[in-house]
Amino acid sequence: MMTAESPKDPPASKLAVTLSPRAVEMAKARLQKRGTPDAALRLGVKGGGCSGFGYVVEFSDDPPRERDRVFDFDGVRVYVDKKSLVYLAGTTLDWEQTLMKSGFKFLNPQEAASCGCGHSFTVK
Amino acid sequence: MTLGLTPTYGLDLSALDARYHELSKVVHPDRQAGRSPAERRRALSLAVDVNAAYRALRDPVRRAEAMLARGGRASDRAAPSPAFLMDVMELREGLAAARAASDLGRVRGMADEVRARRDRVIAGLAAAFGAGRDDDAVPLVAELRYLARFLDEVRAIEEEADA
Amino acid sequence: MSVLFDIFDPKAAPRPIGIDLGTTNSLVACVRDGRPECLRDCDGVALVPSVVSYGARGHVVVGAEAARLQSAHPEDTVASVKRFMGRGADDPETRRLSSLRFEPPTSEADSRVVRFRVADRVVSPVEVSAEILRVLAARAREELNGVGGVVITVPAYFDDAQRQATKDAAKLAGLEVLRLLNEPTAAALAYGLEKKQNGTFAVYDLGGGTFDVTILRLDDGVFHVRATGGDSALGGDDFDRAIAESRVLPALGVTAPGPDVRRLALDLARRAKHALTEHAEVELSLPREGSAPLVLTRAELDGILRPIVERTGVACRRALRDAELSPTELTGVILVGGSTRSPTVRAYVRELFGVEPLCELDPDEVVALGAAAQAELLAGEGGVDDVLLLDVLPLSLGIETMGGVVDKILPRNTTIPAEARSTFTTYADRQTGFELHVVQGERELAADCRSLARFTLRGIPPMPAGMARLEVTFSVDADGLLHVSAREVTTGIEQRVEVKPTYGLDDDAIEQMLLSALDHGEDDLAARRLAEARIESEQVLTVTRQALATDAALLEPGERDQIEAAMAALVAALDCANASLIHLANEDLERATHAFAGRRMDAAIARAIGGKQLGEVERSVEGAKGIEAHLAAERS
Repeated sequence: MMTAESPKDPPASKLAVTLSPRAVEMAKARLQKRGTPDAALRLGVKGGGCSGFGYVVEFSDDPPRERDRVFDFDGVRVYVDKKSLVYLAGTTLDWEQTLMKSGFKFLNPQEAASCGCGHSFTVK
Repeated sequence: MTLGLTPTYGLDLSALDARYHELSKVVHPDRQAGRSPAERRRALSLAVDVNAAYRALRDPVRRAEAMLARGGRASDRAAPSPAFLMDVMELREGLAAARAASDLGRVRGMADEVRARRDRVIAGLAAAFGAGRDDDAVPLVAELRYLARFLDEVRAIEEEADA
Repeated sequence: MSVLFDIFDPKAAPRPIGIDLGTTNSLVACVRDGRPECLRDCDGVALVPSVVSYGARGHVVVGAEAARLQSAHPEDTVASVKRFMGRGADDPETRRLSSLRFEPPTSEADSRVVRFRVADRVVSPVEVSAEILRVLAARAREELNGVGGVVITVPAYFDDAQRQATKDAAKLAGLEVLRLLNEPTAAALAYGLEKKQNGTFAVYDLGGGTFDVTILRLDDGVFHVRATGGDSALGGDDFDRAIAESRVLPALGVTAPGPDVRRLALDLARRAKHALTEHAEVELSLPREGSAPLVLTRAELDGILRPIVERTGVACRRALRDAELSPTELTGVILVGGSTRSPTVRAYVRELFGVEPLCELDPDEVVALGAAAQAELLAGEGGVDDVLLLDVLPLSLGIETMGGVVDKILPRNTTIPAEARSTFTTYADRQTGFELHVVQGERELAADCRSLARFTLRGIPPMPAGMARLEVTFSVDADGLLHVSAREVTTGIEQRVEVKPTYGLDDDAIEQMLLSALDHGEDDLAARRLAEARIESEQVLTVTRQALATDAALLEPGERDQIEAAMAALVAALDCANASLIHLANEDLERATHAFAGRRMDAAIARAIGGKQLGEVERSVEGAKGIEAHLAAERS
């Protein structure tokens, strides 16, 4: 897996997120279906939810912002703003299919507790 | 309007339903997404007409009246035979008595009898219109009206008893 | 446990949603990946208790948290507000067992609406319902990028005033109502889409506060309602009341309970009812020193509930008669509403219809799922082209005539949209005004029916009695809402009346609430109007452009120029920040496209009836009595 982070920022290399191969495949499919194969994904953390923080995964049609880190997984570009990266460091975005539902899943080693459904979480 | 069906008294009710559904899929207000307000308004007035026509066509009395009107005959002046009127008067007296005695079983029995009779009149009308004998249909339409009114009364009694 | 996320699209178009605004619980649903699903909270719970709790200093809490506040603040917490929708202050409903404080009306106009005194203010049922709708819309907004139009379900047996109140609540919550949909029809839609089985079905819908029965035929995607009936004040709440009154209050030894004791008794009753759904016996410990626990068996519960449940039979039998069906002709009976979980209810339904009822879909969720499916259809999305709901008017509409007798103008179970006319005359010489009293219901006398509106047709030229001809037209739209217009035929004096129910809030009151709900009052309202006018205009321009492109062949010479000029005027109006100017330009465009729209509709109909020329078909038929042959007239 390749990352497009800048080499002159060494501590940042520890602050990284990854996408599982299945997540890469599904992200590509979703971008394709949306008609914007070249758009990026934005991962992040926002305040709110019942356990403190909530995860964000959304499409982004714009170029990265100044405070964003950009990753590239087999052509799927992923933006994470630096603030969110603090909470997301080490996270793998996976894709899962259950009997009822399918979707992306945040595997975050820093997550201390999540509310019943995982929409929000607290950090260790 | 007959919703584009061939005007015939012995109307196939399932064909009527099918046609009504086809037309509703075009004109019903729910099906106007992506149309302009002018088209929506026009569709609404058509939907109202289609609903009214469907209701009229399903009603054997109104269907018969419309068939007579097509042939240029008025249906409202027709009188049933005196024998029929005597029959109906007796039936009504019987119904009033059953109602007074709260004899719902008797009311239902009479209703079944009248329903069978109504179905025979409807068959007679279909035969008359089918053979182009519109004149023969005139007294039958009047009979049908009396029988329909009798059944309405039965409904009212049943409802009263139920409440 | 961890949630599965979909990628959120900040540029996605707003999505249509369906809302089941229930007596006890409310839900919101949306179609995703072609299937309707309920939107859930953090804990996976779809139900939002329809409870609103008002705190001092304007603090409002809705849902589960409000339900928790109920025992501590029974008077400031409104539950089952749906029972009061569209009802007047003198309605019997307001005198039943309740922990609420009813605000006595100060004027006659005031008495048209029930009002509750809660914490620091006085609120109407419309405002309370709007709070619930806001919370549901917020949940949808959180999950979807934006909320487009909304389909809100109402009991099929809701009258005009209750429907209007529901629509007003949505307006107050800032929602665009695509359609009010009858609850049983929504449930049938969810079932029908799931099972795709043709046949005649009864939908037995017993909720927290309302009972509906609907008989409908499902034919290849067309849901054709044949008859509907019910009781808009009968439901699971009545079970709780009956248990509380017959068992809990006596056990507590209370004869004149205050609000908190009543609340407690109802709570205990509800708990007993739920426990007895699965168990044969329940033991309730009473919060009273030294009192033995109250033991209740399922057989005892049956005895208490049975008379209430049997009241549903009247409406069921009547609906079957209206549909001209016997129970044996039914393909199946669909159970809807939380109260159909009760074994007493299930046993009764089995007895009544002679079939094992269907309950595969969650009876709490099925209505919201159907509403979401209908919202999707109305928004023109989803491509489910063959689905159509043909619904009916639940209660007859009429006019009071001489002697207080009702002249029924539109009978119950008429398929909507529908229109009917009736002609009246003056009864005094030189009479210049004519009072019309619009009522809804099945009874012979106007006094026994629901009064919807009273208005006076004025300016009739003085004529001898019986000379004037007053033609009254009733139109019922697809939401089941009535519009009335009246016309004096000999002189052509026309008066169009929006029937705002006699019992209900008038437009000014709604406007006032809307203003006070917005932070900056009038500015916000003006801005919202402008935004709405702009969005509407953009849509009109888009569809007109499409119509011009696809049906250019239907244009008459010179017509395209006229339409394009009107379009250009509308585009220009959009640049000015003036809502009324935009509205005017919109109306001009509508006039310019009127004839073209008619031809396009006719062409669509001609395609539907098998490619025949409409004129040809029409020439071969005569108008049935009383029906204008509109099609033929427009065609020539």
